[in-house]
Amino acid sequence: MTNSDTTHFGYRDVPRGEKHKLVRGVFDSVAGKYDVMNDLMSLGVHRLWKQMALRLSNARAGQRVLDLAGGTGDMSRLFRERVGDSGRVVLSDINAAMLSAGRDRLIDEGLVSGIDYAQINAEQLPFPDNYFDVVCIAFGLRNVTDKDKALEAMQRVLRPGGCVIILEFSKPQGELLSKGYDTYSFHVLPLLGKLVANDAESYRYLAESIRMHPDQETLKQMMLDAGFERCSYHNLTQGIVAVHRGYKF
Amino acid sequence: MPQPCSPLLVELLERAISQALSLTPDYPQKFAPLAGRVVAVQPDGLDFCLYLCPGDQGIQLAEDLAGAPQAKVQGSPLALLACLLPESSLFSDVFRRQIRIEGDALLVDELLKVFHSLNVDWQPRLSRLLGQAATSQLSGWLQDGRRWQLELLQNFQRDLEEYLQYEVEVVVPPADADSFLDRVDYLRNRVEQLAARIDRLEAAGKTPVR
Repeated sequence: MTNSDTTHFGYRDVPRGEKHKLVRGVFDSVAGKYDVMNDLMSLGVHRLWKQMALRLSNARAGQRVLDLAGGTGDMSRLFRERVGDSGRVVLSDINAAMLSAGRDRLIDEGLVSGIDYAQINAEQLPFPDNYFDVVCIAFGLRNVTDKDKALEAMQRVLRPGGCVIILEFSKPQGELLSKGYDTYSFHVLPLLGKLVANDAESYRYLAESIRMHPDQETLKQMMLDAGFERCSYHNLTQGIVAVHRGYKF
Repeated sequence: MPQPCSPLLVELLERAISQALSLTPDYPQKFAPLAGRVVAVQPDGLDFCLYLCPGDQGIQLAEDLAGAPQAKVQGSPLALLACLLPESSLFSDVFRRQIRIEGDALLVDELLKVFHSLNVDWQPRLSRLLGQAATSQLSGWLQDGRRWQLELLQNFQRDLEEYLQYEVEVVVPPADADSFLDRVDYLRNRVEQLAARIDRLEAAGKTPVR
């Protein structure tokens, strides 16, 4: 249990003001190899998880979407295709290196119009109230220092009838899977990080931060507390990842 | 309340529909006037609801909706599928009467008209796979088959009419039925005229003569 002046950074307790700097250090370090590592770590399954999150958002042509902690732009690209020319996607990240990698990648893929970029903190969203039809945060919430504050900010910028989508690692269902997953996370992941990105520590942090992230039911309750309604979650790959969805009415 | 449809099923359905629509050159313009409106489709016996969201990109599907759709269509899966067939189709005529519409029926009608107006041109894609000559040959066979099927259906319909009307005489020919109904109308008019005349005579009989 952390006291109010400290928060988790993996298994460590660090001063609240320090966490975003430490997270920034992790992502500055991995930004260049982020996509390769995602494919390696998940054996490509992260693409299906993201497709599932997109589908559950029910985003439609002409809508406005905020992609928080969007990193290298995987979700923004999918949302851009879905909302079409009449819609708008804002790709945001607190980390300049990740955002820059995302912007370069999307421009290289020919996606120039319909996407805006913003380097912002998910806890303090610089957007008007009731502005977005969909707010999505994929594999980013666990890195946020004050998750409750971030959820409240998301609820504020979401327009009535819109929904928030949270794609995040969660608690695997089943004892055997949990043990296998632990072995993979704490032994294979840091090794992969060392071999591919030359950074074992960042990937050890990844495994630790996943363990410290709220489980499915806890996150659902946090969403309800933040003012979202009709909250539900879908376990993917036996709960290794979960998509939470909540509406604002 | 129906459950949300499986997201994977919705994804597959939407991809299949998009593939089919992509063979129609001008489909986005056809769906564009219906942008922003939502039609819910709820097949009987299946505990889910699917939301059709037409727009300027064609048609998108949703497994859940925050608000209420403008219209809701219910019916057996077969009836719902048959609605997508051309209006002249025999199956479409039979099954169309078995669907139920709640809300904006005009919207459903407009959406069906868009589906019926889509002219799927599968030849360019097929010719990329099979080559021009094979596609042309296949297209010829299919056109012959369609013509033969139409003729067969018309012949069957005509033979069935004649059998029911003249052989077993369980159905009255339309001309005879019209003539009979005309005679019934004439008789009804005459009866009404006679009743009016009797009323007048009775009224005259009751009036005292001065």
